[in-house]
Amino acid sequence: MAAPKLWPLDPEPEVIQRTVHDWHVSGDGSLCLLQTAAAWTGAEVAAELVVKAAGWFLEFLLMQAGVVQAMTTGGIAGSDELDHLLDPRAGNAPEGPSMGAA
Amino acid sequence: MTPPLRALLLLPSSAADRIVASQDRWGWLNLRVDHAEQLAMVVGFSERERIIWPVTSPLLDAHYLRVADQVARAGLWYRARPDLHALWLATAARSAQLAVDGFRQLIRGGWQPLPVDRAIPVLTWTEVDGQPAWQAWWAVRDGVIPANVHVIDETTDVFAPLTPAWPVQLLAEVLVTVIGVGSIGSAAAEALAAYAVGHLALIDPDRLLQHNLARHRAGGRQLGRHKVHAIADQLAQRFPDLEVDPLPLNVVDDADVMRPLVARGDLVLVCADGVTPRRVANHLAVWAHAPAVLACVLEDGAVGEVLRVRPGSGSGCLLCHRAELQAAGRLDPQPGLDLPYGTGLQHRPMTAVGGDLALVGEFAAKAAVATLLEARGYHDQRLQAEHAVIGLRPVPGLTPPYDVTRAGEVRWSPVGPPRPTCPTCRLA
Repeated sequence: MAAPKLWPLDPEPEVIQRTVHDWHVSGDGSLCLLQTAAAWTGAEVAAELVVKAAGWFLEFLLMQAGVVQAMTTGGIAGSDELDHLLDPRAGNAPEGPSMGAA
Repeated sequence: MTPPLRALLLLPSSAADRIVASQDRWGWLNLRVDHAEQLAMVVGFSERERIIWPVTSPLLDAHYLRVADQVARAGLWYRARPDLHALWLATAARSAQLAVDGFRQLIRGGWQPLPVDRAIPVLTWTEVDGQPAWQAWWAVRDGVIPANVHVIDETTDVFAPLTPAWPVQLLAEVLVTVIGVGSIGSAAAEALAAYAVGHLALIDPDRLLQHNLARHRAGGRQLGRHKVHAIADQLAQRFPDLEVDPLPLNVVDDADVMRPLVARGDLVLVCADGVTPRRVANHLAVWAHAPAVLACVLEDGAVGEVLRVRPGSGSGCLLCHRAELQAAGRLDPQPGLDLPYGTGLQHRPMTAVGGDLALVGEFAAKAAVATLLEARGYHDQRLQAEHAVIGLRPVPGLTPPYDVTRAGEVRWSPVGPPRPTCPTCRLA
């Protein structure tokens, strides 16, 4: 069965960012949340993707701020590899009004 | 001029019937001729010197000779005595010819002088056992040579010679939905039509592009068209009675259209080669309680695969089969249908050779028709199992059941029962 598609409306990735691996945005503007179509077996629920989409939003902000040059391969929903950048105590979190919305 | 015996005259049955029904004994023939092919078709005739009657037939509209020049009064027809037709056999067997005077004595009148400068085709008819019988001749001033005639019965469909040995009437009522009309699906659709399936729905959103030509059944003159329209037109030319519904739709995005279509049909033949379309088609078929046959090539064309999913068979669906493989520690080759992550595109371009893809498509069509017939009591059409692997260009290192070692090898395997946790099977 087909995995659900999630389209970010705010922020809305630019066209040039689509299909670029570093931004994890598909050609139709939806988020690239699964590494393969086969990874979605139909037994999953769409809510699992919402968490991934939230992680994508944080990585998007890090990319926009120039803190990272590419998003992580598997996303940060199940990984702590970018946590140090998101911890305000680390003192190097990117500034921006959208951070509060995350 | 001596024509070879392979010279052939085509005579539409409507023209033959009208000539026989006339009370005359001779007339002229208008012909369309392909000299290189040694072929001519009767497209008009007269009764003696009276008006030429054109032959109007769908057969003529579809035949390649429709664009050939029409030659008026290019041939003759005569009513003959039965002895002349007996002489045709004797003369043809000896590669001989009849004397013109002898030929003339065996027709029933209306003799026309033969041209000095050219040969002329002649058709003769007589009654044999109360039925009209036709023969063809090639006449010149110094002799008459047997040629061949083929009376085309315009009232019968192309499958008439198959009955009653093949269940043509039963299959004429069947609707098969073909999802994916690419290299495999186009061959499968042609094979289904050749099996006398009467109704096809063709589903594919793609257009025929130049890189498709090495593998697809549609040719270069169809470039740019939707594949479903190109194949539908080709099938219509070859099988005039076939009903084809070409739908340039995506089985995933247009699932709302697919759902009632799948439910209305008798079987779904899935020849799409992406992971998601195959899973969606599998899901739609299982939920519609429709039998499905899924065909693809795996491992860059190393093997072909045909999987049968039947309601009430006790076997699981595509997802169940893949889960069964993984539970047994074997590789699921299906993700290889898509490109690796991060390459920008999802669908992997086809790498198999066209003949192998057509082989898999035709094999899948056979499995589909056998499935339909088995369910209707034709026990000679039982397949060995639900899953077949076909060796195309076998490679080492594949796990069972894909580890065939010979090209052309077919390995059948059973599929386990539906999984209680299968999202497709458990609620169907």
